Amino acid sequence: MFRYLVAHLPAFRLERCGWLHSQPAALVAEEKSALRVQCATPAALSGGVRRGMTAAEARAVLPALQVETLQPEDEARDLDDLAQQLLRVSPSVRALPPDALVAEISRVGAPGASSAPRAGAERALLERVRLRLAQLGHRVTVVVADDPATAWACAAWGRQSRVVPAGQGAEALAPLPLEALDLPPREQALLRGLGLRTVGAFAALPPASVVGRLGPVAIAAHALARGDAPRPAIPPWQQDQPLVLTQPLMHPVVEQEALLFVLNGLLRDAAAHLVAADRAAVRLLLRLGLDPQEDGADDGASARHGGPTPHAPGGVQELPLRLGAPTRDPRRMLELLRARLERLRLAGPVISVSLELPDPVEFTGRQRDLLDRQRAAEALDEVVARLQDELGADAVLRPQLAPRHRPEAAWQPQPWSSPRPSLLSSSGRAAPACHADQLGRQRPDGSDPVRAWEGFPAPPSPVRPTLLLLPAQSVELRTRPLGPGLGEQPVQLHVDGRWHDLTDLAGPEALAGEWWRDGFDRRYWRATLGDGRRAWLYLEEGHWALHGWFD
Amino acid sequence: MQPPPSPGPPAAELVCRSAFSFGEGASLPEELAEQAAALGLHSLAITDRDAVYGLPRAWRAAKEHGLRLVCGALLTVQGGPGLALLARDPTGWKHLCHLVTRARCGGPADDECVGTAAQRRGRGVVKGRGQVPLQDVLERAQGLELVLMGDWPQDRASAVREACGEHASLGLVRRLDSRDRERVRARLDLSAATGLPLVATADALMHAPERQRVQDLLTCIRLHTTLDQAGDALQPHPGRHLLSPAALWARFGGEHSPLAPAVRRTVELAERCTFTLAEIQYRYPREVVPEGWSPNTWLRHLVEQGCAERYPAGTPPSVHRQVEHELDLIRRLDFPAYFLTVYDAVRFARERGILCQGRGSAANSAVCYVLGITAVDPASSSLLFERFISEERGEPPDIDVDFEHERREEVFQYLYARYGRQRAAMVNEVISYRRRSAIRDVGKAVGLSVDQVDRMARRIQWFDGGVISDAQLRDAGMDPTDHRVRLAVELTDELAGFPRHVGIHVGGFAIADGPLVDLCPVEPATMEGRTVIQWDKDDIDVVGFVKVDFLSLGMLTAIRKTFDLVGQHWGQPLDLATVPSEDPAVYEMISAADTIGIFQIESRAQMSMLPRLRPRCWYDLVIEVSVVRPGPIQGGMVHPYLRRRNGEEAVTYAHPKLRPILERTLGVPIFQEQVMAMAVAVGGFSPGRADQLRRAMGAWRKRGGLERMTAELVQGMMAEGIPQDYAEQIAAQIRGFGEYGFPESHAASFARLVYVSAWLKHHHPGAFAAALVNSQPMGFYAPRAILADAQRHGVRLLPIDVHHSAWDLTLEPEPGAAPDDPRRAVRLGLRLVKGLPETSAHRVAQARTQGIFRGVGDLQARAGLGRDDLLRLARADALHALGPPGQAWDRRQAAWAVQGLYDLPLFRGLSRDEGAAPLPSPSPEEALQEDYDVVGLSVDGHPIGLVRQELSRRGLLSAEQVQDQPAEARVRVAGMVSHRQRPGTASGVLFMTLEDETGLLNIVVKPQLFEKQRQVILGEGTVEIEARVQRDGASLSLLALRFAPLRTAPAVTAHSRDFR
Repeated sequence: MFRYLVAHLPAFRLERCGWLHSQPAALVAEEKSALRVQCATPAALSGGVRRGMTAAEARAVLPALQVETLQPEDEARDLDDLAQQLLRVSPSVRALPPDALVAEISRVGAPGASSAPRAGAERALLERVRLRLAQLGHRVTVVVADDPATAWACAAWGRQSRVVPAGQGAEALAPLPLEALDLPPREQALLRGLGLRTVGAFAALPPASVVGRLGPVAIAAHALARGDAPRPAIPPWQQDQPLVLTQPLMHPVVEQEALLFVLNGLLRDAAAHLVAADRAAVRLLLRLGLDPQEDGADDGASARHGGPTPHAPGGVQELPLRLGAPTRDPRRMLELLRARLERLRLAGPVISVSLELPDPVEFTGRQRDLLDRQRAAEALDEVVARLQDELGADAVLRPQLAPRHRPEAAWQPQPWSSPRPSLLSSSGRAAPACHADQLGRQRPDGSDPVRAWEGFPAPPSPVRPTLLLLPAQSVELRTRPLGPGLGEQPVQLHVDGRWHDLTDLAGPEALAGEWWRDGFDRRYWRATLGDGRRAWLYLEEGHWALHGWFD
Repeated sequence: MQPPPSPGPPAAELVCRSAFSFGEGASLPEELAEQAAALGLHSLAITDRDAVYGLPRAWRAAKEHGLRLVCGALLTVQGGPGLALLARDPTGWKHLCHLVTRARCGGPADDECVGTAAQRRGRGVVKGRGQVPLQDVLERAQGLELVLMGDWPQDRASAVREACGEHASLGLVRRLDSRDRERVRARLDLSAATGLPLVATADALMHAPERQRVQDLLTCIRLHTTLDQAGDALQPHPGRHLLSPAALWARFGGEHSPLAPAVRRTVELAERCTFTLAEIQYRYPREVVPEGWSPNTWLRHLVEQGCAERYPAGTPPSVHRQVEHELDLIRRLDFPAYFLTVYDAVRFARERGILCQGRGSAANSAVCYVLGITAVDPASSSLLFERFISEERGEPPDIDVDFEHERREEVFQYLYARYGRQRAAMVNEVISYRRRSAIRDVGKAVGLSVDQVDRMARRIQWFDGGVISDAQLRDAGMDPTDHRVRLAVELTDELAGFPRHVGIHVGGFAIADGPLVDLCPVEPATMEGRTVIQWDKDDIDVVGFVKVDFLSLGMLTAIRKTFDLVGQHWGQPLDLATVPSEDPAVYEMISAADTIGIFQIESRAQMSMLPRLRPRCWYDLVIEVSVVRPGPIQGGMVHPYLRRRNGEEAVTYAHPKLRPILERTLGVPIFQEQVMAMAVAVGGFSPGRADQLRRAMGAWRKRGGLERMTAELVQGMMAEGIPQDYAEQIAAQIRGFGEYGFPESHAASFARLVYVSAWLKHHHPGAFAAALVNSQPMGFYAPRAILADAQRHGVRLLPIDVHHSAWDLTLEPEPGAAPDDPRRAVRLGLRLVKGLPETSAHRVAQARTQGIFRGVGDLQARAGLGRDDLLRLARADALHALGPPGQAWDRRQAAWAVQGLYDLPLFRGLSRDEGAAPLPSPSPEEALQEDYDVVGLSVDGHPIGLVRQELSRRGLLSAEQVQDQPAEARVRVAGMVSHRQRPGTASGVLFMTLEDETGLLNIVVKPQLFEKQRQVILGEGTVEIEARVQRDGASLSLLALRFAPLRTAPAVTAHSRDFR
């Protein structure tokens, strides 16, 4: 029999923005081609701001209103972070966006124990969760019930923390408003139109009449409302979800080798999952559950030594690992983990080992060749992985060309490997939205007809030196005038302590722009020196500079 | 202005895009022409991408600055880069128009293709995308100079050379980039290989390098990106501007460079292109004249016929003289065919029973009246024919005709059928950036957040003529010292006035004798089934086209529908001309401000004026519709007029010369014509200059330039000894007219419709209300208010019922009335059921002809309705008669039954039957709520009526009771908010219309109270108000003192019509 705990944080979205209840503030997001209010603080609500108003309307009602644009990714990340806080309640805790957490707690209380002690244990757990989240500064309602949907409905709409005894879900739901069932809008409206206001009124409809009149979601909701919802089982791994494998240990473990032994098994299981799903891992997250009995045993030590991931006793010690390239080879993963574990200071005896593989990607395979260059590539992967371990994932970068006119800005650093394919295309520009309404606007494939026209079939890339000097080197130059209105042409360049005659001149190439920042306006020349080197020179505001060398 | 003598050899610019190459060119055509003249260029060609939008404007400016303008376009050619076309002669122009049309329509410029392109338009054919096959270009190259731009493959370049000989050239550009040398070499090679001579060009995108900022900005707007992200999509340097001859020569190496012939050739080509827009030969359609008649004799014939019809008792001598005078002028200016063309469209509408009526200056014409184009009888008003056509202006006249809004399309289709799509097209309208639209685009491009942009845009009111001030920015919560904000403000100022996009004119039609594509390119419009010429209505004046405005007017639809209902139920045939004139009872009703639904005078502002003005005759209505307008209001003319009319103030004139002009309005200028005449009489304006003033008023938002003229006028008037404050008042009024002012002739046409609609409301309130609702959307009030008003006039409303209701609202004998009882009730129509498609409603009505429905299954099977439609009907309580025999069926039971129907074709009509579901019956409040949700109104009562007892107990008055209160009395009222308005002319005062079961109340909210209680005032749908009664003559309003939400009212939501 399963039991679930849901913590509903009614003000989470506002609390994470740091707003007080007394501040008139609202979160807005684009909806139906306008910025509309998604949620608002109590102060804003009492000032007349309502969900769905446009930002402009809301401000008309309440001029003092502060408005912030909703960042769904940030919000989801923060909710995930919060879910981590409940890991010790249950390893299966998950975020329920936008503002709730759910945990499977079926094993709370002694298995097979009678219901009374079990209820007591659940209540204690509930209190701990509530307290923990309250300490973190959240308003929260926590409910334990037989299934997550009932628990969520009671938490979000009942607004009172409680344990719903096993088998009494329907009674708990009955007084709640119909909205608590989270029905699709069409069916919600239909049932409201029929005068049904509470879950209980809905539950009173004969099941036979509901089938055929309502859609599958509503039929399921009806079953839930009547207390005979099918109980969810542990969901099988969904391939876009992180793969999580957990191994509880019989005895607390402190030896690295013992952990590696357990890990070996887990990694093989993981590899089997990955092969079955034709996926590969790009990240690993190792979670070591620490023994709560060992309160503070190593606490001071780890704080003094600044161990990699010091944790409170009885908590979870985490070890993230980024793989240089997608892989599903358990040996390779084990090798990398071994290297990490060697440097890790355990914060306490370990009682469970959990391995998570977030964001698995499609496996593309690799070709072996005669000389086994594969190995070199893997070696590079390992170096990169080590460097990332040491310095942080964002510290290892590679340069990529960027389409900018300013030569020294015409590249940008990219993280060595992002878990997902880069949003930037090879041209380095995110594909803009397509509007096919206007003359000469962007085409659906992202190409620009105007540019396509300019240099049909495709604009040749500009000639640029291989070596760019940063910053450009100020140089002395002798020039001669080119003619009225055309400026001057370089004749001799002073570099390396002597004058060089310049031949094979090409230019001028005018480059200017970025007037909205710190603008520049230069005339570039290519010129060959007497010793065969080819230089890239420019004139800006009367001063000459050497900006690079061609191969 | 003569070009300054150029020291060096001459040069011309032959490839140059203006701001009408949207997103590319960064200078207006006028700026390019002026700059080209100032630089001393031999000639300038404007070559916009697949377009000639900017040519008339460039031409006007070129004439002014003494510049030779070459007419051209830049064509997108299939499988090749760009091709500049320059018109050498009229043949070349014709071909250019055809090719541009081809590019726009994606096929040859014939009737069929233009037509189908127009049909396709709604489904994804995008303007300017159609590329023209090279073969088509070569077939139409006669009369054109071709300049090949970009990298052309040699075989195609050779093909051009072969077909066009010396009239094709290779465009040579130096872009000052790293590939310049290669490019020049490649062009020289191609020229040698193909024999195509080179011609130099700067391929300009702007008139001066300073515009690079705007050019970058436009690029960002075009690509939906920001300046920071645009990268190399921007030009690498600001070099693509017009060059002086010396600079052009210098860029190509001077007179001794191997490229010199290419520069010399610019002048050779320019000299070959002698075509100007003046050579376009526009002719009126000829088929409007039957065989054997000339346009003149046929027009005279029709006018004589019309006189006999309009004046059966003989044409009054004054009218006869006027007609002769007009005919003479029309003949001399060669406009007969124009009048005949308009007459033809009006005749067609008449034959089809489509109501129409001319408006605007045409109402000054007796000829238009006798032809039936306008409805203002010259015998009963003074005409200013010269306002309509004047020999001095020499411009084609402007006839605007209103048609029923639902049936104007029939007239359009008739015109297309009669003249063909080649000869009839709508007129373009250039939509320019205003500050508000500019700031949105600019803000995004400089990288401000959507919210910041939104805040800035909302603060910038369109009537703020000047720049965006720091105070305004701080008001909007922006930091005026912030770099990005500053930048956004600067760029917004630069961008304002630029063309933003082109649209379709509301009603302007161009019709010609030959194909329009011979005269101007035609393109499909955004609206399906429409084609437009590339010039807007000001531009076609320049090139001498004639256009007619065929506008649509909702009130004409409503009037015709009322006529139909009256004919059907009371057998009284009516039309605009036969509605009995000058009925005192109608004026009595108008004077009492009982005008909901009446044309033009139903708004709050008009209603408060009516009891003070107390119109007694048709001319009073002319004044009434003109006086409550921004012009007279801003000029402060309203109150002086009222005082003089009521005899409280003597009628005086600021100058003796003003007496003849202002006599008929008691010395107070009210109409545009009067202001024009004043400018001539005492402002030192010539009639021509006064006409320019009139044009500037019409277009000042687009072009500006009004300020200078008003200043000139004030000076002129003061020189004549008119006090400065009076002169300033006139100037303010002129600015107001620039917003929305009525010429007298226009008001005269409208006044007839005011009277007719008022007559119908007075004599047939039920039919009139039904017709108004059947003509929605139109007018000021929602169906709820119109029908509630009808109820107050004793009309009975019957609920929606599938056994009785049609799509439209209909009239029925009252239930239980004797068969010969002439009274009729209004049966609500299915069109009021929210979301119900018209076709479903018609199927219900059709199925009903075979007998009543025996249940929802029967209805579903016979009318073929889907479950969603049936559900909508159930919720509207339209199925109450379909319940099981002897069982009272409420809308919930009906909905449950509908939900139980099988929605599969094979099982239509079968239903699941498990007995009644335990559904609670709706309370009266809930039923009302449903009615308001689904139908928008209820025949069962008003939400406020439900709580009236409670309100009375607490001492709150109904709208009816308030009418008996004395001035200055303090009252408390409650009701639903039906309108909120804050007109720009009312200095922050908010006007609110409050509705209860007994009527409407006008509430005035002062800014201080608004600021204090804006949450209640804007946020609540039902309110109670403590207020003071204000009376001005018979007009009553309440000055609000305090607002509170009305908590006892049922939670009925009805949308108020705010800030329209």
